[in-house]
Amino acid sequence: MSGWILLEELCKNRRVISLCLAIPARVEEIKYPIAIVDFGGTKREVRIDLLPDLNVGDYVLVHVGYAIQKVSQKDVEELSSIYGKLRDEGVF
Amino acid sequence: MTKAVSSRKDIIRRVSEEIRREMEGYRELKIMHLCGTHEDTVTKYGLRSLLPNNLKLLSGPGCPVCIIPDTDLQRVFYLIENEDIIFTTFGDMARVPFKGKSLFYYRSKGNDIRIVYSIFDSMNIARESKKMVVHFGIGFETTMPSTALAILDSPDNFCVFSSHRFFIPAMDYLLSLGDVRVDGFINPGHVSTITGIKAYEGVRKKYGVPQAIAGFEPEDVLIALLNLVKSIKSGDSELINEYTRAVTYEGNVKAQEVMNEVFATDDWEWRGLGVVPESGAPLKDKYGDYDALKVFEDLFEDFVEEEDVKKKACRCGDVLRGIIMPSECPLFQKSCTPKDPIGPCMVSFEGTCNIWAKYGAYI
Repeated sequence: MSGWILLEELCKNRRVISLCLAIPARVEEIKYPIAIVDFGGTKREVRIDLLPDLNVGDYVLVHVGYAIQKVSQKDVEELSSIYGKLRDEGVF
Repeated sequence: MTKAVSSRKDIIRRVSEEIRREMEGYRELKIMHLCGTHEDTVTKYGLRSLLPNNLKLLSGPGCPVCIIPDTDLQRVFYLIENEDIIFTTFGDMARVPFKGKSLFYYRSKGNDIRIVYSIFDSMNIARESKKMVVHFGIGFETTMPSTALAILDSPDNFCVFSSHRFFIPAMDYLLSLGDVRVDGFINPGHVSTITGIKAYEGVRKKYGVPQAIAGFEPEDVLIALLNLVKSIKSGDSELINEYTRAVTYEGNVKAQEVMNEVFATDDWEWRGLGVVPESGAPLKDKYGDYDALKVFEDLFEDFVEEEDVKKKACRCGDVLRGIIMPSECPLFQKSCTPKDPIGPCMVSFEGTCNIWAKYGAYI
C-alpha cells in the first residue's frame, strides 16, 4: 500500500473539515492565484498565493481552501521519512 | 496491500515496545499533545493502551473551536440578532451553544447563516450579494493566513469577526501557570508547517521542555513519543521535527508575512486558560474597514456580557488544560453527549470529549 493510498484513506475517514488538518492534493491546473487540485478523485479550486514556484503535478497540503505547503511526491507516495527515521533510530 | 498493512502494524508494535523498554523503571512522565487531530489519532487507534502506565499522554488546548470563550460567541449572536447580514462560518463552530442557542438555531429562525469550507467561499458570496457578509474567523496559525489573504483581496461588503488566536503564546502561558507538570510537548503538525520549527525556540529556551513536531498518522505520534522520552531521559531540551515531510525550520515565510501584515496581537481570553498575553489576533487598524468589531462599532457599544449558567458544571476548561480527562467530568456522556452537547469540547470534531465519546475511549 503506498503512502498516497494511506493518506487518501485518512481523508475518507475524516468526515468533516478539521481546523488542524491539511489534506494532500495533486496540482492539476494553475490559473494564478488559483489552482485546480485533485484530492484523489475530488477536484477543487484552491488559492496558491502562499506557495511560489508551483507546477502542475506537484503535491500540496491544502487547508481551508488554500495550499499551505508543497510536499514531495516521494514523501507522499512512500511516507519515507517515517521509515527513514525508524531506520535511523535502529528500531528496524 | 495486506503485507503493507501488516508492516504498519509491525512499526507500531516495534515503536511501542521500544517506548516501554525506555520507560522501564523510570519516573512517571507526562507528555501533552496540542492538537485536536492528534487526539483523534491517539484515541481512534487506541495508542494510550500501547503505552506503559508511567507514561501519561495528556490532551492540551489544541482545539480552536473549544478555546473560543463564550463572550466571542455571545457577540456574534448579538450581531446576528441586530443586523441584516449574511454570516458565514465553518461547520464545526455552528453547533457550539450559548444559553441553549447556536448558529444553527439562528439559521432555523430565518437568519442567513451559511456554512463554508473556506473563507474564499465567503468572499464569493459577498461578490454576488449586496448585503454585508461577516465571516467568523477562527483557528490558529494554520488558518490565519487564509483570512489574511482574504482581507487583502476583499470586496467592500465583506468583513471578519476575528476570533483567531496565536497558538505559541498559549504554550508559554500554560507552562507559566504550572498547574500541570508537562515533561514534553507533541507540537501541532500543521501550525508548525506555517510557523516553522523556529517559532518554538522561545518556549524551549525559557522552560527547557522538549518538544516534538509530529504528523497525524499513528506512527508519527508514537515516534514523536519515543523521541521525547529519549530526549527527557538525556536531559536535553530538544526540539525534534518528526513531521519532516511538511515542516521546515523557517516554515511558510510568505504565509507569515501576510499574517503579520493583517493581524496585530492583543491579550485575549481563552476558554480554560483565561487571558493569554499576546495571543489574540485582532485586525490591524488600517484594515478596520474589514473588522466586524469596527464596522459594527456602534452596535457593540451596547453589548453586555452574560454568563451561561448551563455551562457551570462543564469542565471543558480543565480538559483543555490537561488537568482532567473527559471521563472525569460529571456531565460527560450523561447530560453532555455529541448529540446534545453542553460544552464546546463535546461539540467540535477536534474536541477531546467529542473524540472520546465517538470512539468509546471511556469504556
